[in-house]
Amino acid sequence: MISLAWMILWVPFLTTTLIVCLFMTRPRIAAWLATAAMFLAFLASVSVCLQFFAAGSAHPAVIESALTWIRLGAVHIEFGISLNGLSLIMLLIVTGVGTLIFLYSTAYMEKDASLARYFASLSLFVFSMLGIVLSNNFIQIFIFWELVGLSSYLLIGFWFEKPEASTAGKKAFLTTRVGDVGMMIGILLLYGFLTDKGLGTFNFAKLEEVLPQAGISEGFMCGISLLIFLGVVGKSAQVPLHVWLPDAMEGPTPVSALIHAATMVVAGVFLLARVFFLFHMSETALGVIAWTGGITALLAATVAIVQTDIKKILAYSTLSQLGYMVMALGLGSVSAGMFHLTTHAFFKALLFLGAGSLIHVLHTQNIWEMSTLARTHEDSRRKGCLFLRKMPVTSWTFLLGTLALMGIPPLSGFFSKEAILAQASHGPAPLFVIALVTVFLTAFYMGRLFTIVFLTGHGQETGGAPAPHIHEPDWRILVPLVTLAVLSVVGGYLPLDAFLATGEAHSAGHGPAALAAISLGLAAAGFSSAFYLYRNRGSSLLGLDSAWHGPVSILERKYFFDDFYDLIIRFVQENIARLSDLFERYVVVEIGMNGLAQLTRGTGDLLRRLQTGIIQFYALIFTLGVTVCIYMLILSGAS
Amino acid sequence: MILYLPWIPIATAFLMLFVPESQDRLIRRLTLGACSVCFAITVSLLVNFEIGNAGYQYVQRFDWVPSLGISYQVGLDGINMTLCLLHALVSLAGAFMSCSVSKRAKEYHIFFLLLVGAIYGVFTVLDLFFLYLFYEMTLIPLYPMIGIWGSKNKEYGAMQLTLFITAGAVIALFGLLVLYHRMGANSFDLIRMADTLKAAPLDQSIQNWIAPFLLIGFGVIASLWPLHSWSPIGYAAAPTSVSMLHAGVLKKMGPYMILRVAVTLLPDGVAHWATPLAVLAAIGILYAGYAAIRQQDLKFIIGFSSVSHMGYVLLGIAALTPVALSGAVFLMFSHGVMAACTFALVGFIYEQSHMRGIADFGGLAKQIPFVGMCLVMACMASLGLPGFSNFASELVVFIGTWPRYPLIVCLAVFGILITAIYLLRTVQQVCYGPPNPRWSQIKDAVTLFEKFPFLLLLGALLLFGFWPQGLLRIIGPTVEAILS
Repeated sequence: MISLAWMILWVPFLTTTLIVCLFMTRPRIAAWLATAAMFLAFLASVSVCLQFFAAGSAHPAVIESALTWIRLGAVHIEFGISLNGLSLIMLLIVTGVGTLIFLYSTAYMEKDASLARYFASLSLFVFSMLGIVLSNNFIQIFIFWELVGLSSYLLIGFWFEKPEASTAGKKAFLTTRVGDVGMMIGILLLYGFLTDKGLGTFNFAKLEEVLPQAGISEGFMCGISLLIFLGVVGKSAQVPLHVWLPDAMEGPTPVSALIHAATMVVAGVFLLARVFFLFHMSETALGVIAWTGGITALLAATVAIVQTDIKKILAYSTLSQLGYMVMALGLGSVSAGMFHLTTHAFFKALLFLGAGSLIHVLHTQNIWEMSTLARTHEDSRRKGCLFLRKMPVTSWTFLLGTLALMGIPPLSGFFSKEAILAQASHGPAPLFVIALVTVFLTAFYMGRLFTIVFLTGHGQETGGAPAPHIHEPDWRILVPLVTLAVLSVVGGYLPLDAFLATGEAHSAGHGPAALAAISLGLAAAGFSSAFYLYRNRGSSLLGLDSAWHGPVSILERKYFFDDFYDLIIRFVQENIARLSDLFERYVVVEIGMNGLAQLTRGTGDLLRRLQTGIIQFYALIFTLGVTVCIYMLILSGAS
Repeated sequence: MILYLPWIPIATAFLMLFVPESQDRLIRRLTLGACSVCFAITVSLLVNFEIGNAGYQYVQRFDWVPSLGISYQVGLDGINMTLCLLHALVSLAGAFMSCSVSKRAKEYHIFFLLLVGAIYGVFTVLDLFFLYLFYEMTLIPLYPMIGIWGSKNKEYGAMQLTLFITAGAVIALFGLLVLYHRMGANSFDLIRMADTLKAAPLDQSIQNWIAPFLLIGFGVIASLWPLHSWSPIGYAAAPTSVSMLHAGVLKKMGPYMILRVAVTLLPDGVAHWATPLAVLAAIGILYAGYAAIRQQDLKFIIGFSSVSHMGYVLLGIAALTPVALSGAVFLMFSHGVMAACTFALVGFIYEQSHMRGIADFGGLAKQIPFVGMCLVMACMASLGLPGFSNFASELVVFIGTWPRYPLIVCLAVFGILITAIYLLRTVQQVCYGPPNPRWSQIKDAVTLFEKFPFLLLLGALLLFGFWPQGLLRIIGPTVEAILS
């Protein structure tokens, strides 16, 4: 079983290497090789899972296998894998959703000139994510954490000739690295403390054992937890390091699906769950985590309302849902967070792939333009619903994804959201309110999106561009859509508790019936108000431009986070850089180096003047010197 | 075998004197041959290196001036074995890059071989007299190589670099002479000196007095802040293979001498000055990183970057823990290979375009995909991406330094963010964006011959990035023995 797990880890890496070394000029082989490899990894994951559960309680909850990566005196860093319920869930999600996205990509990216590079990077992405999921120690998780950053950089900036794309890639890399700096310091702090007590280790299982007896004060533990949490904030795009995620939409759509569903952003949530024993030791830290999640959920949902790019709406929706997961973990429930992570992986991948399918056919990402296209299309004699007729699979699966995201029973999102809401209802009241408001907002922005794109027949009168032929795409796009739609429907019934076995007091399940009713009511209210508002109206929010101008512009500027960071970069970072540069130019080089040279030259000049060549002058100096010497001798003799 | 390392390139250089200028193919082959043979010897030494043995191996000794205690003695321990490997890799890659020199090729190759031989000398001899001799010998070819074959401000750059290194050497020489006299063993033999001083260490006050001369003198070569400014200026002016050898290998002589002489012979003196050294190292890391953000010239960016990275090496040395020192030696290797690789790539681009401003380029990843990819990889290595040995070595430095200077380590970790900022900016401007039509004629590295130097260096970074223990198991015991 463990050797199979090793294989799962290395297969995608091997694929990347093979593609880079051999198949750069044979893109079709590269694409199918990568897809087949992913499928193989998925099958292996299923097999590992089955073996794990077939063994029942015959083996320990964690199975480990490790090699020595670095050993220097007492410092021992392993490279290993550990299997437990948590990593098995993630293994299935990453390889399963991954396979579907790979298959989808073979059609979606077919015409791209750099197809081989695309699949090489995509495999690298999965490899990095699997590394995080399987790793058994902090350093290894940090290694793959950084590799995830690299892969996202390569894929978000995939179309690097476009300046926006390469800038977005850079932004993703740098923003998440800000978090990584904190995470590294947190790991060093923890290790340094434990080493002082003679317990130094990076291994998760050993840490779990050692931590309770190490006698770490709560404040110290809080500091460590929050530093490590900073890494999560970066990768899982929580406020205030969330700014990279919407920009990351510059990458190809399947990449967005992969980032949002199976890799990258869920890495942070996974890490929280993986080392929850650590966060669990500090109440304050958990509180900060819960609030960070809650604020992210609310802020992102409000921004999603005013976005007009279909991918950006989904991106903000991801932010918001990630906020939910982080909040759940902050409130102490690993299972609720992981449950939502799982269902979210299904329906968010579905939504992104559906959006990709629309973009693929319509060549636009703007929801109003999509709406206009539908309206001005020659086939749209019957009012609205053009896509429903012409692209039934895409449209109906998209609807399923939307409903699942809104949390409508009996779809998967309902159950996982209920679990989180139930958890929140035990937590601080303001957080619970935030969670409920977000339910409404989620339904509202998804309702807005769905109404405008699929239901409205009355978009703006801006048509004129020749309408593309609207048709259902290739089977390689439809199969993933249908599969994910099925999973989004039944995902709520997956026996996740069997994997997690957390033994929490109130495990993920149904909240009280009243809660379900409230959240359902809010979701219905959100969707129907959006439907009412956008069914017949133009592109402005609520159709009340002037009165709402202020608040809307705040939302459109995304609460000024980007502007704020721009200011910091421009005024703080650039000025420190400028200062260093000026110091280098004028102090170190001009005064230090050239000044020294001038001084030497000047001294030389002065001394040169003594060389007059006039004998009398030399004789004068000589006589003076001898006189002084004699004088000194007499003086010393006299005393 | 180890005895021949410095002399093969030097002998080849003398042989080359008799080769007519017109035989440029033969000249190139001689250079490549000499560097390849040395590379092969170094690899065989590495393979036969006894792991776990902390002392010197392959030791050979010939008395030269017994009355003064001068002998020609060679030997390898974990530290200089690693550095020999670094030099073997970089000089081989540098020999490949030298093949494109067309102006006065014969003289260039003679100087190049002399330089290579002298560096092998520094890293193999274990006698302070010869160590210093070889060390000064490296300067002789450097000055004409930069002055004649360099670019832009070449005379200024050559002057800066030579004067600074000479000044550093003189300051260090003063410290060495005092040390020699105070010790009273009448020997330049480093092994004997170490044994003598271990048995009867110098007074703390004398150590405190000598140590700064050695730290500053050798620190100049390691571009210790604020004595670093020769480094960006000199590298910017130097021709490709000289930048490679200098940034890659010669710069490591500074920390090597600090380890070999100062830390080994005057441990208490170095410990006394460790905190100021660590602070200067941290300033260097951040300052050079920020200065790099403002640079427009590719070679200046890499030059400042190398100052910044040497800060990590010096920080590791200042921590004086076995782990940190191992990390510092490992980082010397990693940074050397990486720096040589970046300079080789920039040189490759410069040779065709005669431009070095990052704003002059754009979209090179499209126009020259192979070199573009290598440049991205080298920058990723430099910004400490796992998978390359730079990450592993920086990590070891961090872990090792943490117990001594946690706050400075925090600053140093922040430094990798700054590195990422200026390198990603560089990559974006040079490799990404819309292709600049001006460079539509630019040629990629196509043949294996052209690709080889880049593949060799990146391959080494990846190999020890995946398998850091490969070098650490050699470095670790030696370092532990030095500090015990």
